[in-house]
Amino acid sequence: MFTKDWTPFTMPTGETIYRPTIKVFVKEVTDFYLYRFLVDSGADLLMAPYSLFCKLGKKWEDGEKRFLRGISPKEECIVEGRVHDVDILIGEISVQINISICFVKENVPFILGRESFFNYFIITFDKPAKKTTFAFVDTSI
Amino acid sequence: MRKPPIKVELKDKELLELISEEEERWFNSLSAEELAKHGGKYIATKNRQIIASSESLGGLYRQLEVKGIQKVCISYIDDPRLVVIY
Repeated sequence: MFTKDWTPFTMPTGETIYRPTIKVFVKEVTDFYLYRFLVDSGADLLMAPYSLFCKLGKKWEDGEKRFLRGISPKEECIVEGRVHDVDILIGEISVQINISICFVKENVPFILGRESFFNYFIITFDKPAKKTTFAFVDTSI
Repeated sequence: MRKPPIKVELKDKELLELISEEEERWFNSLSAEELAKHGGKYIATKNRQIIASSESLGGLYRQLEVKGIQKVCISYIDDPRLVVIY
C-alpha cells in the first residue's frame, strides 16, 4: 500500500485546486517512460494521446475502436480512439501490470479511469487530507 | 487473456530519482503563476526543473530528442482558463 499527495493546479479564478494523480512508467519499445496520470474514478476508460501510442511499437488498426464523448452530446464532439493493452510499472511497489488504454489523436490529458487499472487497486480518495491511497489487491506476487 | 502482474525491480537511478519524494514535493510546490505559463501544454520535468514544454506531446518528444534527454516525467497541465470535468 502507498499514498500519494494530490497535485495542485490553477483554476480560472486563480485559486488552486488539488487533483489525485500518480506517476506511472509506461513500457515503450526501448525502455520505461514516466507519465503523470490523473486518477479519475468517474472515467470509464484510461486515456492517453496518440503520440504516446506511437512509442509502443504497436499497430493502430489492431486496437479495438471506441467512440469517446465528454460533456457535450453533440455528434461533432465525439472522438474516435483505439484501445490497446499496455504494460505499466508502478514504481512505488515495483509491480508491472497490464492495462488497456484508449489512445486518441488529440492533445488529451493522461487519465487513469476505472477499466482495468481499478481492478488492481483499492483506491481511497481522502479529499480533506488531499491524499490518495492505493492498496494493491493481487496477493499472488 | 490479460498478462498477470509481475515484480519488476527498478534499478535505474535516474528513473528512481524521477519518482522520489523530493521530486514530487518540488512539483507540488510550483507556483500557480509558473503552472499557468504551461496551461494547456505537456511539460517534461527532471532534476526539479521544467526542461521542455509543448502544446502537443509529439512536439515535446521532438524537443527532448533535440536536447538528447530521455528520462523525464511528462505531465499535462490543464489550461487554467477552463474548468475541468473529466
